Amino acid sequence: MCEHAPLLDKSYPGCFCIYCGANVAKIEADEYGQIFLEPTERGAERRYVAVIHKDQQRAVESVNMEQGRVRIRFKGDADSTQTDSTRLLSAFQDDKDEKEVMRI
Amino acid sequence: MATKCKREGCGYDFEALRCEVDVKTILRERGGVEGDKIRVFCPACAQENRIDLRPYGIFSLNEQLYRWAASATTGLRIEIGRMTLALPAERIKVINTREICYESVPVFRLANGNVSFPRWPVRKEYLDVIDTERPTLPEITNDTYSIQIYFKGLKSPEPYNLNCVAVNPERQPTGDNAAFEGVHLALWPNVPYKAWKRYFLRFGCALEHVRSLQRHSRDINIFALGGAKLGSAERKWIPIDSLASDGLTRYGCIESRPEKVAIEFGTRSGGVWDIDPAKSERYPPGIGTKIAVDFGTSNTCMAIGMDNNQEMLAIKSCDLFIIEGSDLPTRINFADTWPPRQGFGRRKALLPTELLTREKLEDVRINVDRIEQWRPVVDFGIPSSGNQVEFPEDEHIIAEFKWYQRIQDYALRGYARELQRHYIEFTLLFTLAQLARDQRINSQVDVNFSFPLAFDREQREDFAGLLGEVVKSVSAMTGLNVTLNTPLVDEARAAASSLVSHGPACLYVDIGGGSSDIALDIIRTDEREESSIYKYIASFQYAGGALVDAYDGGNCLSVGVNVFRRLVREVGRVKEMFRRGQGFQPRPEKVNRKTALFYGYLMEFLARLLAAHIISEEWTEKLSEDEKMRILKEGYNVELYPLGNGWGFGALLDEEYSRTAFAGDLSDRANKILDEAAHKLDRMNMPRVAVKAPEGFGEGDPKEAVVFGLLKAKMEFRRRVSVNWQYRTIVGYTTKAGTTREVPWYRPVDDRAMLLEGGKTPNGEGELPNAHLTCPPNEWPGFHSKLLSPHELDAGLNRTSNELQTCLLASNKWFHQSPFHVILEKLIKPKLKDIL
Repeated sequence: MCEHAPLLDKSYPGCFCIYCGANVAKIEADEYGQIFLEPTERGAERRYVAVIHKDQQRAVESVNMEQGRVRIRFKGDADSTQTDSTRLLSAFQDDKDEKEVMRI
Repeated sequence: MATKCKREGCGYDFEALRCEVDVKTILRERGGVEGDKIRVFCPACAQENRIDLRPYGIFSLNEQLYRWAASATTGLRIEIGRMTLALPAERIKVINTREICYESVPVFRLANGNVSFPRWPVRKEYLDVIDTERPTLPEITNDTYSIQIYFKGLKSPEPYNLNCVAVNPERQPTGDNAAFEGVHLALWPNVPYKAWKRYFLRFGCALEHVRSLQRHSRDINIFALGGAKLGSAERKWIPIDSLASDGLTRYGCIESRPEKVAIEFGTRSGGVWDIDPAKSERYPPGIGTKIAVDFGTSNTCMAIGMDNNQEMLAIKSCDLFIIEGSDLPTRINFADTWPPRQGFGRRKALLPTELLTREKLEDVRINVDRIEQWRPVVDFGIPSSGNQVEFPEDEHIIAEFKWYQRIQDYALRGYARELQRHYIEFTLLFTLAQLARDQRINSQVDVNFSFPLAFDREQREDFAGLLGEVVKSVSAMTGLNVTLNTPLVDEARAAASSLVSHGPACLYVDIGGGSSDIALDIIRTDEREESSIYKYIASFQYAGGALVDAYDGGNCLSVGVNVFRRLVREVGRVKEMFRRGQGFQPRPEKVNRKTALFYGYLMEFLARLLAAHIISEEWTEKLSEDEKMRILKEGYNVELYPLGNGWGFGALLDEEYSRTAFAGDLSDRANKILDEAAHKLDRMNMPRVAVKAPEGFGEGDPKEAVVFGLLKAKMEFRRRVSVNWQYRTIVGYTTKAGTTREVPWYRPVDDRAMLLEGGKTPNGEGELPNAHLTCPPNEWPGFHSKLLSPHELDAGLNRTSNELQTCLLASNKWFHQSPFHVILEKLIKPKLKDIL
């Protein structure tokens, strides 16, 4: 567990600690096609986002974020779609305008 | 402002991060703050990013955060988009542009009539808040200092109109009262290369203006911004606070070229001067600069050049004046340890082999172990020529440390090696600075040193080790690749190599301060080439210093030995001093007697050496029968090369003493001994000896022979070294071992040929290693009629016999030393002061 975890707000959307760069959460897709952010800290809650692609909610087969590049493969698609990290992480924030939804 | 992750492909926008960042935590992390930027890691990719705080009116100095009072940002929270930086109240200091500046600035009147005033009125701790990318220049108008300064984090420049520091604080700082006169701030050395690391700073004042500067107990402090440690890139404000005994002049050592100097008057007044950076990035490459150093007992000199293009290095000032309100003082009323600005001697190329301590010697003794950490200028210097010394110099001089036995102060004797190291290091630094200033140096420097013949193997190796340490440290100080040319060459060979000899034999007599080095060289020509073979090389500690001690002990001097030494250097000629009545008591007959005795005993040895050369028939070596016949008929010519400053005292007896009187008397004495030998040994075929100084010799500086010789190609030394012993001399005084064995005076002595092997000498005669050695009276040849014999000086050699025993049988070697040398060093030298 990162020593800075207590300083990070529960709504902190990042996979890495802003203070030291330690890995503090992982992003994956669940069996229902939603992306979730799961803090590595035991007992912390998952946060989910639904993905809206071309004005349609799509089930996500897999999501991959490496070195800030986000690749999403929807169920039924052979290719993956890219989006930016700002958009994905913002979706995990408890934001009244775009709550738990990512539009790409 | 947009603050995005710098990783390509990520670009996470921190402004989108709804998060309160605790800046205190970042500051606590190693590397958390750098310049005016704090470190944050990208939440999406962990890339390290920096957020510049300056646009928000925040800047950082030494990990302390500052916020301009006039900045638009208020409170302790900075909003960057959705992200909030929460600043720790205890780590952020609110400052205003007035607080960070001095209230008044010191102004100095320059020698050329202009004034020098600070480049910046900002306190040294806050200089980094100046936005140097938007520079402005200060000016003095109507005794008011004005400047507009752009600060980091502030858009508009801040105007300043400041008073000058009043020379007399009881009056308004206007007119003459607004500028201090006679003040100097000097940097050494003035070299144009960025690679040079070690610098010294000096702040002082001309004697006539000291009072105005010190008035009202002003607390003046000087600091330089530069390196505190060699090899470290860290820059610090280093106090220039090694105070000279005048209570005002101060020195400092900086291990990089200082960038700025702050002069503070108390806590309210001051200013910062910029120092121009060195211009050249690196030293020019090339074939290498060749330097020779003659580290003498009394004087040291340096030369530069190659085989046929050599010159003595004249000592000149290497100062760069930052403030030149006066030249450096020439009337010295304190121990001024600043690098010498002028050398002694005809070519101004000699440096005294003396250390001038900043503190009195009595204070040095208290912390004697500090000597190991000494640095030039701040702890010691080398006396400079051209100064009128008006302080008790004897209380600050350490001399003759080349020979630890000659260091007069017992507390310092144990530090002879350190003293040598400090001196040679400074001398070398000094030499390189001179060359670098004149841009006569390449990145590769080859240094050549000689050693006195009197050094034994252990001393020689220790000396070479010491020099190795010195060139390493000097390389670090200068950024040059300084290498030591090894093996070292002895002083006699070095001196001999600088001369072109003619005739069958050359006698080199180098009378230095501590040792006299003697070499008898025979020149022979066969069908192919001329060869030169040393037959004898001797060295003993009976030299100029011994004569000065004799003058001193015999109450012939009117000043102390160290002051006398300085007078000799300043005046240049002992005869001239004597004529002026400087340094000597008005007792010419006593002085002349001691001088004549000193040379007389030396001559006695040389005469025996030449006679031994003839008696042993070594003179016939490689000569044809015709040549031998000619020499037997016409005489055996010996060219006398009088080297070294010790010969200077001879002028008291005769203006051309060494060239004429000494050479003539030496011939007479050698021939008289040969006459006696012809009778005693029943030998007929021995030539007469004719000693002469070569025409034109002695016109150059007597010290140049060694350094010029060192600069010559090493092959020449090798060619000359045609013997496998280090030095070889003669017994000199017929010596008895035990009751039966006798070694005649003309037998050669060297440190190998007489090794005791199983109690036998090489010629097979049995001898006990513990045999009692003595030099009996009434042995032929007697001493010159004007000289007291050893037995007249010490009846039965009672006081000398132990010395003879110890020195001659050292290391279980038969005749480890020449008995005559032991008598010279241990009996005659100390007795010279008493003999009348």
